[in-house]
Amino acid sequence: MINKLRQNYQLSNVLIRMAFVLTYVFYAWHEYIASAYVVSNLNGVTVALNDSVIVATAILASLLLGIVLMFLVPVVTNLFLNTSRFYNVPRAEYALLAHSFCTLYFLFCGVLKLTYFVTPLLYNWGGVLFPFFTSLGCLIWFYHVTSKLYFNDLTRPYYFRNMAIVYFVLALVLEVLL
Amino acid sequence: MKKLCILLAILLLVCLLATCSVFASAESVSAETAPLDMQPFIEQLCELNGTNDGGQIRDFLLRQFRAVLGESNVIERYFADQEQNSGYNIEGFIDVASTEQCVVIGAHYDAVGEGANDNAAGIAVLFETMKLLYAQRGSLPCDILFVAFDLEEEGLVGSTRYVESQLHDKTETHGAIGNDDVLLMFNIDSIALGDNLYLMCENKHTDIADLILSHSDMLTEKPYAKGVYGELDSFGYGYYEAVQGSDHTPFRLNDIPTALFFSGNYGILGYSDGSGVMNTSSDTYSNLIAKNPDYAKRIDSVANTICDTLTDTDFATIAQNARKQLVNNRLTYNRWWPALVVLGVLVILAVFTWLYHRKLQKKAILGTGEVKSDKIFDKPQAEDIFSFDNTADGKNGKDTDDDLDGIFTFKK
Repeated sequence: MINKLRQNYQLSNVLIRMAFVLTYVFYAWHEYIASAYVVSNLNGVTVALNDSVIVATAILASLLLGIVLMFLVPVVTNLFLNTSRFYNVPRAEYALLAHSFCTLYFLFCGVLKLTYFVTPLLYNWGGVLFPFFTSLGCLIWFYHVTSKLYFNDLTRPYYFRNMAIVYFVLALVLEVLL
Repeated sequence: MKKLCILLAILLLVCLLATCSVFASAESVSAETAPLDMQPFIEQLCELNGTNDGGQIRDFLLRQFRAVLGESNVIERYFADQEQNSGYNIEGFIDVASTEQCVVIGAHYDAVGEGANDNAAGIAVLFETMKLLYAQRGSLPCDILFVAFDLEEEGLVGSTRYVESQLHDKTETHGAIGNDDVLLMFNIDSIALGDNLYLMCENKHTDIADLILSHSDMLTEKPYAKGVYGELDSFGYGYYEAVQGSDHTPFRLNDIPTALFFSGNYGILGYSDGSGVMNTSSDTYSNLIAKNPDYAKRIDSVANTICDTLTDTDFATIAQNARKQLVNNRLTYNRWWPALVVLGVLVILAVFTWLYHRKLQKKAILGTGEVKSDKIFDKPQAEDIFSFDNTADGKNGKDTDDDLDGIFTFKK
């Protein structure tokens, strides 16, 4: 199966992008349902939505943002490669790998987020720790794969340094400050 | 004379029988219609809510409360905050001379539209509880404060102002009350609709919850793990519970144990009021009767549960201990603790990153610059495009023109 996919770039691209969007819905459904509840209870709006409408709204909204994110990933990876001056890396293939590791992140984190329903304590601690450790694991794996594929001993330190800088800045802003 | 005596005896007998029958009928009427007494109360309150005249609603409640507790034990307390919100909390008091500790029983009286379920029914419970407890005031373990809060729907404004200042003010009815003097706060909010009547004390089982539940066959404890959506935590409880947007929250945030009575349904998505009318203009008295004709039983049940809990001999001991069983929300549910853990891990990670980078730099100096890995996607090899004829061999090791045609051919 994997070998067949490796021989068919177009099919891999389509399948990974679809998986990216679907796992994003799985990862983010809590937040979208919460947002739908907020919108339905806003002062002055008072829209009485039943549960099925709220679920449908949440799924559609998360699908929409999943698709937007899917198109944003290549933009971000291109920006990273351009600013880092890594001109010899195949952009589309690199973006495809980024998509697949984001898919893994959404999947693992989505599974962990189901534990919020065990106790509210896990919401508070898990809400910060789950994304942090899952993203760290996926990023290390992504680096391990891409550094072997596209970089040699001379260029690898620069790739590692730039990726580490981006990661630390994002982790500080997203996980600690926000 | 004898006839006169017989006549008097008959008259006495008739009077006796009549008196007995009157008492008997009075008892049966009060037993059968006690919950139904609430109907005109709620109906009138809904009607006044519909007029949206705050003055009339307050006058109605003051009259009703004073009829039970006496003129001097009920006051209205004005508040105004910096955001131009102003209103009146109505406070009634039962004084038990032997103690300075008290229990607060509260429900909000402001409403969206008629507000039959949210919260005329809650005010009816407050009124019913007031009557029951006043009748048993000799056996109460502590003072009782009954408070009808204003501006709950505007963001718990009335209850917040009450806990911040009004509770502590010395008034003509009672002296200054500190937070530590409040053993427990009962809050009654929207109890008439939905399939289930719930109690929520804390995000874990507590002794006070067990005590309250032991006095009711209608109540169930709120399922703690459902409806957890942190983004909606607008009251600082540390995590979201759909029904925490009620007047017990300011008390709980001041470390006063609370018990919330509410109704509704908990599903996989969280809490819903079960009727779809909460905070809408459809929360009317006619809808209340249509959706739950037995709503008066709930009112009666909650009032009796509160009364029985307070008069339980174990109440004082358990309530004294309730504060120790509160979850420390500032420690447990503070988002900064996990953020600090992340920061610590990032610092350690930064050290390892620096060391690994140094290792990579050393390898770069000694390395060859060769890429040793395969590409992720296969590129077609020559064998995939052409077929080679390895058997063709001409004379003297040279290929003839005929042989050349057979060396390689394009695959179809």
